[in-house]
Amino acid sequence: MPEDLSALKPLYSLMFRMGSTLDLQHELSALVEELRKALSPFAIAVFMYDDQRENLLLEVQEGLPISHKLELPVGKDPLEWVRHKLGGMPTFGIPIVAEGQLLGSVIISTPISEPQLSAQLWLGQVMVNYAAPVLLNLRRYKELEKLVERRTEELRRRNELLKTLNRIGQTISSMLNENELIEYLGREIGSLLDPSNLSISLYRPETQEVEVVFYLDDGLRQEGFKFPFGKGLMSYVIKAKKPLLTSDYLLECRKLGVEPIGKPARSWLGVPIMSKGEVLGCISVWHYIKPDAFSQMDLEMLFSLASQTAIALENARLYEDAHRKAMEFSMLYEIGLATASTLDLEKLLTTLYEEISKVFNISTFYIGLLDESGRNVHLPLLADKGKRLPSMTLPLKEAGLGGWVIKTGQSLLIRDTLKEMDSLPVKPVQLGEIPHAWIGVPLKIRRQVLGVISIQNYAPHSFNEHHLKLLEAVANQAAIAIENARLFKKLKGEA
Amino acid sequence: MGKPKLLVGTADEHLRSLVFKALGERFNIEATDDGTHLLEMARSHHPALIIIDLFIRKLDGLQLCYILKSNGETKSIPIIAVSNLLAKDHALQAGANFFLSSPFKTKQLVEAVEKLTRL
Repeated sequence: MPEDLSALKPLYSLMFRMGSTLDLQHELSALVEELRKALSPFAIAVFMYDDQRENLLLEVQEGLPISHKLELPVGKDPLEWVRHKLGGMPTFGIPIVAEGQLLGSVIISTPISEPQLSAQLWLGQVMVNYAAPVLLNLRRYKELEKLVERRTEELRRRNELLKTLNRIGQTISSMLNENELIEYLGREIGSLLDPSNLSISLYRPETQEVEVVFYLDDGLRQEGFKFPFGKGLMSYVIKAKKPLLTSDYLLECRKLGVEPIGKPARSWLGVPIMSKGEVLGCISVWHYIKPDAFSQMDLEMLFSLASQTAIALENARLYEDAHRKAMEFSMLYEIGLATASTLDLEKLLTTLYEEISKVFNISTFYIGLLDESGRNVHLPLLADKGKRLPSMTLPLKEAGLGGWVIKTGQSLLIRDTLKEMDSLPVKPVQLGEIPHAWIGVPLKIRRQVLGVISIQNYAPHSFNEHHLKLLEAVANQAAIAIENARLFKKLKGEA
Repeated sequence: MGKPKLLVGTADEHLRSLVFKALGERFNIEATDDGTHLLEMARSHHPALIIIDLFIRKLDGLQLCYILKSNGETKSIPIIAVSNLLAKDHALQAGANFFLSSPFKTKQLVEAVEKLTRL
């Protein structure tokens, strides 16, 4: 300690100057200025750790031959750097320490030598030690300021999200068409999360598939597709009935024992679309490069949206179901009317075809009637993809699946011709493209089989038991009318 | 029995190679430039000695000294703090057993290590 207390004057001056602002540069400049007055150095430089403590930033300097800002990675010695810049002049470093933390260092290059040097450096240390808590408080204030900014931004974003979620919820609750609903959701999720990659998928338990009905990849809308249930993290989310957020798609797949699908993403977020404990599908977003593209808040938001989607999907499906039932009743009514009011076979068959087409999703349709010999099947009405084709006659034994229905008097439902080929009772007659879904029901009066009505679709799984029962009801009505019309035609011919 | 372990926490290549050269034959040396990593290593490796540069990534050398000396598992491990700053008082106050002001001679380092480890 210097014996002459007047040597402490710079410290006294520093105490007046420091701690009056919240500006780091201002406070450091005051420190440097007072150190210069006290020590008359060649140069002074103040290096501070950055927020992540990866680099040392040259915040303030005097006397160094540089004009730009400098950042030294930890490991590059600031003292050596200053000494080198000044051509090897004697240089000393004073640590800036507060509350046991090293905040940075003050590097001083001075022409003074012993015995004055020790006293000068002692004074420098006292001044830096005085400044250190002020600088620590400033750093804490800046960190707090950043935290407040971040929290405010989070709150603002959450508020915006809630507003948007509310708007989407209101809109989708009034949508009764599944396709429209999916399209709307796809667009709106984009406004919430700004994802370049998004999929909305529906779980199809009947085929054990996941159908991607909305697909956005690298910002571009792509065709939907299907994949076997069990593959990819979407399947996992559907099976586990819980959301999943990961920063590494492939690693997560390995961890969960799931086979990955598609181009591997980096971060991935998926939430189940659940209604009454049943999973209807999955909404997923992903990023190919960023490992932390999505937050817990994004997960909560997407999960909330998926819950609203589930209710809307249920509503749409209930509406579609009710609409379908109404169409079916209407069809049966119209066919009932036609069968009761006409004896014209051609008119009757045409009405049957038209009404059935309104209710069933069909690619191909035919009505086959046994001729009087019972050996041939005449097809007076045959239509494919909406076009009537010329009638034709086939020997019963070559009439394929329709022939089998006539011979046995039993109905037949085939969900996927190709997959069930080995278990079919007879080989189908192939006239062109093979329809994957096939239904044939006999036209019967008591035990006598008059013929067959067959509906077909090129897409597998287009029909189920419900469709079979409905077509059987149609056939029951139609069989009597067809028989009456044929008898009337025969009588007319005889007369 | 294998060689005793020695940890070095520094981002300075020169200091790292100097330690390896001076003590590599007598110690099994591991080095890191990351303060949080050094803490984990100290807990899991139970080294005979730790050499800490005051400027190190993520956690500084003074904080490291304080944490190591406050923890029951690591408080008995001798620490040599190294710096070219006038930081001897700060380092000893934080818990370092010895302060080595750089630049130093290899002999000074070896003597300090021998004194603290009795090896």
